[in-house]
Amino acid sequence: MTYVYAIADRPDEPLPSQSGLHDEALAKVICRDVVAVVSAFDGWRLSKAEDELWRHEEVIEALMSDRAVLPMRFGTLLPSRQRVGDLLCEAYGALVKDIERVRGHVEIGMRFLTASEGRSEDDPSVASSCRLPPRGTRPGSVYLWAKVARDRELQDRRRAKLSLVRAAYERLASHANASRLDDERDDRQETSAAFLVSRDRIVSFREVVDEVANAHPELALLCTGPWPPYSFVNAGERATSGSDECHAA
Amino acid sequence: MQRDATLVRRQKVIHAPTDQALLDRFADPSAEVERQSPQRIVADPKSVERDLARLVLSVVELLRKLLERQAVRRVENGTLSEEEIERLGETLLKLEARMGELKATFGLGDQELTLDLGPLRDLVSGCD
Repeated sequence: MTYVYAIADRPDEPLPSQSGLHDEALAKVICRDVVAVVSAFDGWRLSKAEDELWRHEEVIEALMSDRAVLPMRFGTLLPSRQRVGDLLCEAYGALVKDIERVRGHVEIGMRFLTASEGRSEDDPSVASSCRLPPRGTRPGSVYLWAKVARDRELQDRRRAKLSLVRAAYERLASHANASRLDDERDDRQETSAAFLVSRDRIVSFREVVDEVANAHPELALLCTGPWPPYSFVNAGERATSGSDECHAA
Repeated sequence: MQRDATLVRRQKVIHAPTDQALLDRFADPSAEVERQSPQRIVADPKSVERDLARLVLSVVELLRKLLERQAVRRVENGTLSEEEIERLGETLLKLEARMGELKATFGLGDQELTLDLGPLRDLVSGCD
């Protein structure tokens, strides 16, 4: 098996001196002027421990120091270097477009929480603040109407939260080259967003983040970065996930 | 928290709440990676009964939440009579109580009964 860290340009550049996961040596798989950076994956299992996540990250960040990089998600595996090469060549055109799109850019991650979040359905404040009083006196009716009331209350909260988050997100997005808001899943307490920002605008973007935080005291913001542009890779993800041979660890 | 310390040490924090309690409410990203990864049942002879119970109860809990969700929708749509609401509510009430007993018997918490259904997660997320 072959573990894939990233796809990059400038295949003639030497690889970073550091080793990959499980201290395996980094290697190149080249197709024309695009290179996949890989290491051997011989039977050991990825633990998803924090150290391994950071090792994956460090390899990609080292590559980013002198080339444009399409980072692969942690746990991207293909059966062989030959297969990696085949996929590089098959997706070559799309990869080159993606590389050009992210060149000189980094990802800034943002996570949003509102003050009212963190309360679950078991929180008495949810039930007590419901607008809809339970109907009937029999236990089954009381139980089900309480569920209906709680459901409406939670939906109202989600809508209010998303409205706040979208306002903050749009302000930030106007200062980024591209952005993504992950607001589809309502099973998580927090909402996340990613912004593709030019390296030379990181400082000014940071200032905008501070402005948004000050303008929205009802939101808690956790902003991190700069990261490789994980959320803005299209072709690389497709190339590796389009094959049944790709396995998340 | 250790993960926050790691982010700070690696100079990855651009902006964070100054209130530590607020900061702690953000989910651990490595836990999210773990959650998104395929889960495997560990067949440990020492805990096989509990592990099997966890698996079975996870499925039952998912079905219970789906049923409850469906019941709530039907009530909201006004398609149930008062008698039907009472009957359905009583059934769900008893089911919830029984699940509570079973969880206590096997020492299982709600978090341990979470089934990750991959892309289907979104379809059932409203059940939580």
